[in-house]
Amino acid sequence: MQKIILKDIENNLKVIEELFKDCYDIIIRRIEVGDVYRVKMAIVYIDGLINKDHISEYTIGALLSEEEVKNFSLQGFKSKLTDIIYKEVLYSSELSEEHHMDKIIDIILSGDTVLFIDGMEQAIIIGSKGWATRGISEPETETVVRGPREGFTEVLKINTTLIRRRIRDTNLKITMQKVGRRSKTDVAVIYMDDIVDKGVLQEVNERIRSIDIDAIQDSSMLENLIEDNYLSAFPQIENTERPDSVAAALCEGRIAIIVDNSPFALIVPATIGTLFQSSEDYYNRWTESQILRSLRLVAFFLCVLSPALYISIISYHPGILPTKLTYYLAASRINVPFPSVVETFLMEITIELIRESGTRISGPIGTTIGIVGGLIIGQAAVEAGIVSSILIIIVAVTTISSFAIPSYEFASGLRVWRFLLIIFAAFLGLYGVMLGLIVLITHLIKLNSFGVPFTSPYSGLGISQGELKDTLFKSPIQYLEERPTFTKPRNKVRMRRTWKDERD
Amino acid sequence: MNKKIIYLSIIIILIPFMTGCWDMQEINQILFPYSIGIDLNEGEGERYVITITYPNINAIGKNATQEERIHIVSTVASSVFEGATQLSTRLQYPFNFKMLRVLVLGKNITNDAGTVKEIIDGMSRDFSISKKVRILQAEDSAEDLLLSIPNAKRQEVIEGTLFSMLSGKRSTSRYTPITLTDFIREIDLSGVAIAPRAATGVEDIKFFGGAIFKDYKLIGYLDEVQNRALTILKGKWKSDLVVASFQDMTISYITTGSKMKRKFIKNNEELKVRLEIRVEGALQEYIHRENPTLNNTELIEDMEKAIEKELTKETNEVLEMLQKEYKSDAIGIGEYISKFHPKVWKEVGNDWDEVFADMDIEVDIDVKIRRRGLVQ
Amino acid sequence: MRETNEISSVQIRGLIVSTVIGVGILSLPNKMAIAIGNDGWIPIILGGIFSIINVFIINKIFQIYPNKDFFEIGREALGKWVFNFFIFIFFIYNMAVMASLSRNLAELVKAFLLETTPPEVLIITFILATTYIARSEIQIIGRLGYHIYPIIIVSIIILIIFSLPSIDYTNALPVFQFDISKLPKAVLDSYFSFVGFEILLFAIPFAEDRNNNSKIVRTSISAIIIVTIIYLVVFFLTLSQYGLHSLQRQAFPTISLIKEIDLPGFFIENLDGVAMAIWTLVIFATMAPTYYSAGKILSNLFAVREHGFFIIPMIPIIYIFSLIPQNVLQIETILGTTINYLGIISVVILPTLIYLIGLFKVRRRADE
Repeated sequence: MQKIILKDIENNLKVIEELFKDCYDIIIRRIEVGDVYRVKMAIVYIDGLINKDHISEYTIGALLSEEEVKNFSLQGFKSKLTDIIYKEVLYSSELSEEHHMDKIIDIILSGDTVLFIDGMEQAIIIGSKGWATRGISEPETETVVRGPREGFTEVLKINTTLIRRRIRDTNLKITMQKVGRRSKTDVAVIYMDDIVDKGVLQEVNERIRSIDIDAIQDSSMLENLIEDNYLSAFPQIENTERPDSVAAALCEGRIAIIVDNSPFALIVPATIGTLFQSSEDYYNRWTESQILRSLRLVAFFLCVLSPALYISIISYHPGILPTKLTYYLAASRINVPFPSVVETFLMEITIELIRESGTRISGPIGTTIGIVGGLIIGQAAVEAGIVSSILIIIVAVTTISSFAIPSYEFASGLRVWRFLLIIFAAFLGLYGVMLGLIVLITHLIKLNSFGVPFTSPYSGLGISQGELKDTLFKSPIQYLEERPTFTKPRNKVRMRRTWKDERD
Repeated sequence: MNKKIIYLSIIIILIPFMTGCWDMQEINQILFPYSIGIDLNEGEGERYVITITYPNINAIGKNATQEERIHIVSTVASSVFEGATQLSTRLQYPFNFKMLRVLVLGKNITNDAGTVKEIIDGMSRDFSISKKVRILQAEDSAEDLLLSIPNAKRQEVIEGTLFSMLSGKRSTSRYTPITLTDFIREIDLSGVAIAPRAATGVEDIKFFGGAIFKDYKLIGYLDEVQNRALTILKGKWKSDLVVASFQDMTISYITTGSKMKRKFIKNNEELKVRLEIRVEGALQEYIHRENPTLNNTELIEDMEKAIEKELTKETNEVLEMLQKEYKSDAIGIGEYISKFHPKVWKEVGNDWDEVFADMDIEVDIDVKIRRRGLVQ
Repeated sequence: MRETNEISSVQIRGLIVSTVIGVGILSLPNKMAIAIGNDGWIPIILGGIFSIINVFIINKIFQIYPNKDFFEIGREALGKWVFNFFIFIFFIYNMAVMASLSRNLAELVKAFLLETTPPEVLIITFILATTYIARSEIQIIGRLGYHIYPIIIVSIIILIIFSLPSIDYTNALPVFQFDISKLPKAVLDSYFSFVGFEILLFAIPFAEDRNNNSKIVRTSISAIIIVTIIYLVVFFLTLSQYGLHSLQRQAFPTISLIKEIDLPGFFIENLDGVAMAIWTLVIFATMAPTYYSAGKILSNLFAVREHGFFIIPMIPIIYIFSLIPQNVLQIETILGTTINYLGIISVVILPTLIYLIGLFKVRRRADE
């Protein structure tokens, strides 16, 4: 294959035709321009990826009707044809020249239009990306009561625009890379130049650059490819659908990665502290956010521990409970034929089934599944005496608390560990639960997210610099004068003054 | 690869270790006794009669299928725990003593110091038994007392009638509940501990007064009023009703709290302790023919005097009894001296009981009527 | 990205507190009550002071020999063979500590949680759970310490709040009535409840503030002070709850104290099982650094860079060590005494020796 464009247009087109053989969506439109001296030109693009109106009207139309081009031969060779076309003919705002063939192929594939001109060693690239997209809509996973309702879409450019609209600063840098030998997916690495820790930035770029894979479909694949411990059940990279979350993260000195065709932006580094933050925390009054933060921590423990504790108490250590509760628990289980382990597994699997079928089918049927599953099966199981009513409460609380954790991936990781802890509890009771917890703690503190301990700030990083103010606690915004330290920001000051300082 | 083999082998080693499930025992397959009664066996066979009561799980909760709230079983055994083991062969499930709340000592057992000590020691040594077990002295045999529970008309409490009567804040000083730890500690400190007495009535069970244990041996009894006097002397009197006579009629007085200060005076080799007790409270009932309104400080002071007199009389009686009859320091004077006057204690500590018996103890009660009710 | 294997000052504090507090906190009040009576707080404070001196010496070593780790310093100061002998004893000491920890844990778990489970199972599962973290570097161990540290503090605070209603503080009286001849043994007893700070030997070279020596000294001493305060609190709580005579009979007064907690209105009874569960975590936080140090010593003796390589082969040794005592009493008499003797050699004598030699060399260099 030839590397660069030859002067002979037919040669170039032959190459293109060969490469795009059997590609139904490639369009090569040949035109001849000029009244006297007819110049062959060809416009190549992929159907569906471009804005057709734009090309027909402002490119082909312009070329065919422009007097200067028509009279090109009359006026003699005052200047190069490309220059004239480039400078005077085409109405497009995005124009460039290219003479490498493989780059041109990439450009065609990414939705721009290429104009070949006979006798020229350059092809003109016309920015004409335009395809049917979903409009900006409210994110479905992270809805807020108060706060912006915009969500990312599948189009990278719209997504970067959404961020740019929030940070109008030249320090907001958006660098592009392509990932995937075949998919050639655009990946944007976004950061604040004067805040971000260069070490982390370099690490991110390097990890993305070194990926050699045929295609990535979604940011989650990229997430798996660049995270520190891919075997772990926990995500070490945060993802969000909300541009405001990304903008806030960028201002903390973190790095956002946006993958084309994915409405989920990735944010690194992520820690337990940040995974328990939700963007609404900053839009609500601090008191409410504080209560929610504490609730989430409770939810964390309930989600991972409650079935295991239930088993260990029911089957191993009934003496731990207060007397009255012990008697009532015993009474509620008097006719249950299974040991608590079997009972718990039955119900946990049922609830997982309900959850799975509910997420696959959305809309009204999903709601029905929820009602049928949750109410009817639970009620029937208790009535039939297969499971105790306490267990239904336990399982329900567990499931609800897993949804109270803002990061869905983190909650699913906890779900896996919940089953592990159930097994531990089934063998060794409370001691087993503790052993399981030891392994879980060890696993969590061994995790790193781009050099940042995953468990920070609870593992001691930045505690003395007030890191807990925005993780365990949610202080009023007036107290968050400095950026969090786990990102090692080069510029620490977030807030200089408020109106009260002004008066003083 | 190497790592994988290591992890795999660890998991394989773990499996036989973990699948034992040695202690697995479902909560509904365990019996939780809440009281245990111990008597000396006067007939043939082993030493003790062990009586255990436990709730009938089937009668608890929304869908209760049975009426009877508690089960009572008893057996003859050589020790408490042997009795439990013996009983569990007769019952469908084993016992778990975590929820044990009340220990009833039969009358015939308490006369023997060694036996009581053995029982108490065994219970405090056991890991599972709560150290908050209340100790009770049965007027007659412990078995009869426990057997009479179903006849009593107070069965609605799930934790057991005896326990609910012994716990909580009750506004009476007629009897003072004591826990296992306190029992041991008081015997350690002063050699004397007092457990409430329980008797079977026609339709109910009654707690009253106290049984005085000296070095784990029963030496005497206190009745209800004496028990109150003892509480006053210990400085632990809280809320109670005092009835005193005043100018040919009775007034009743509700105490809201009391404070006690012990003062140790030593002059000329003679030990003297002064107990200053300040009582606060309100007037409950008062009818005065000549002066129906109560708006006169002198009158109140007179009433205070009358109540003081009544209380002083009660306490002195008990003090006399403790010093002369039982020679046992149940009011914590020895404890006080050993803590605050260790030098004196070194001299007298060895034969404290004798010293206590001859000691001059002065009780000074100061009653204050703070409120007089809504009506003047 | 190169992992920065560093441990921050707050992590050092947490690490020391969580490493030092282990089995000792359960039995210390009883030991002190037996040894010296009501004035058990005096040996606890003295033990704390001696530990502070010890910690100070350890810190000084790294000041004399900056930018070197413990093994390089030891080799330089004592020579290869002497030092190897010492660290071999140190290794045996660590093994004995681990054996005693896992055995004690097993015995207590057996008593309070799992009555019929064989202790062998409890021991082996615990050791296995610990291997996972022992294979990691000091940075992770430091994080662990910091995670367990708040658990310890919060548990102590909860213990204080819950047991306040039932205690009688006059039980702590009279004070200053002890027999001075009994003091040395009592101090020694309490001192052994403070060992565990030797993890500093491995932690300081990786400290974030290793160039700011006074800061590490401050944090490590503050950690010992925190431990002393916790011990004092537990001693006073148990003494006030039980009085001297009963306390002398309680094998594990701290757990008995928790058993006394009974707030029926607040739905809280029978906390001993919960306390045992939390205590398992505390023991884990003691076990992990010890395991790590044992692995480090072995890797150094055999000149292997990765200490993780030795962790798994150590499992059977710890397991066998922990099964040596035939009964509960022998845990104290056999394992306890061994630990005490070896502990004196490896925690007191070894650092002091290195320090003195280092001091001597520095002087001589100054003279020249």
